[in-house]
Amino acid sequence: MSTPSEDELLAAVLDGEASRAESEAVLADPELSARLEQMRTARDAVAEEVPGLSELQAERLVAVASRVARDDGRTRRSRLLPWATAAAVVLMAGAVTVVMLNRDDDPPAQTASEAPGERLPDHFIDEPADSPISEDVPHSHVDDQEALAPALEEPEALDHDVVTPIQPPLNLGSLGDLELSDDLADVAASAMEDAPGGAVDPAASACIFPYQSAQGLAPPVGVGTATLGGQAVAVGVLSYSAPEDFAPDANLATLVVTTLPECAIVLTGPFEMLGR
Amino acid sequence: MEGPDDTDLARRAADGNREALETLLRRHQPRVYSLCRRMTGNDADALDATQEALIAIARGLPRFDGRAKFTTWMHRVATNACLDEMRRRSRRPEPVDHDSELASTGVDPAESVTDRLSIDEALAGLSEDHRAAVVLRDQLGLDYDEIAEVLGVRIGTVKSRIARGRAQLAARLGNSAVTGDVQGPER
Repeated sequence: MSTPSEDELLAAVLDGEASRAESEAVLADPELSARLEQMRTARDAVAEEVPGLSELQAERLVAVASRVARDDGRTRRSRLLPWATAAAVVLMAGAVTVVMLNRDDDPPAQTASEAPGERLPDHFIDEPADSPISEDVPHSHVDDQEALAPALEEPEALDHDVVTPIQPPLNLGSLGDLELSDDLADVAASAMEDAPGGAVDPAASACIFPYQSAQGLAPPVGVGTATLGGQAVAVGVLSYSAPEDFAPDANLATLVVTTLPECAIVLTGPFEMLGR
Repeated sequence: MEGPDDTDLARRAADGNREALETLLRRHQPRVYSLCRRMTGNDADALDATQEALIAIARGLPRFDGRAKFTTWMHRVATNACLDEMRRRSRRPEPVDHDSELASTGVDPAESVTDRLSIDEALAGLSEDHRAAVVLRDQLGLDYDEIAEVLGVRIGTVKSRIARGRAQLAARLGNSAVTGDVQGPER
């Protein structure tokens, strides 16, 4: 059994902080010497180089942080709806409606991901698979924050204690081989009702993840994989919050699809959840 | 280090220079991720914590007054962001799939499973205080003085935490090598 003073002596020897006499004393004592080696092994294990993020992942983290910081002065904090009914999952209509109200002068584009009978705001457009993700992802996310801004409260510093905790996303598993994004939206919606559970695919999660951060406004509530038009993709169902007094009955989600493993965005767009 | 120094970049970034901000974040992101990876013990949480840390750094730059080294200030902000993220995660149950986590690293599982799990889980068994001190010292290579400044404690406390943390790690890693049974995270 070691004592605190011995531990500190061994740590000091390891760090070169001990005197020569102390180091020699440790090395001359078989028990201390053995424990020194154990501690060295532990230290080396902690010191082992951590495999870094991919360049793409790193750029996305930087871009999101940069965007959030720049928007600090003009982005207002959302009064987040309670996440109460976690199973119900999603609140999107508020964001969609605000966007449309805010962009009266800006006719929304028609997109392949548009749900039947709906017109989508122009930032929910399909993007080519080779779009530069470092621009697309942060813009997509932060634009939604900007869209919410008029209905939000005064800006304030990031305070983790008041950011609503997010739940881990459901594992949607493999959603199959699909040709059309609308079909993928349907399958994803069904999967949200009957998710297989367990940990989500890390590669898919890594592609969908950036939407989760930045004030927690758009956490993925479901993550899965699929093949869309022959391309392996990560599929995320994102939950948006809207001010309670703006869209109290909002219940729409946004589907985000990115290619694997590049994480280039394929489409983003709202779709109505089944089984409200 | 190539290019402008951190303090200059930080000042320009605080004045709203986007390029300076992104240069600064890009420069230090690997260290922030390394810190968060060792602190959180898994890739997904580390990614989330790193995002939060970078945001906290970016938003906190106007409050960086240049009296401390930028890296000291940055490590303090990043450490706090990692700890915040860990506390948020600890408040909710989360399935753990080590096989999936390892698969995402691109490292041959046959070579790495034991080591990765041992060090991650052994670190998770330490208190936050001990873990932070050990990671700042052994993963990031900070000296005792800087760790004391980062953590806001006396240098004697730093020495004690590092010593106790390493001793506990050595015991856990040693036991796991024999029994294959490593104590789980304190959550």
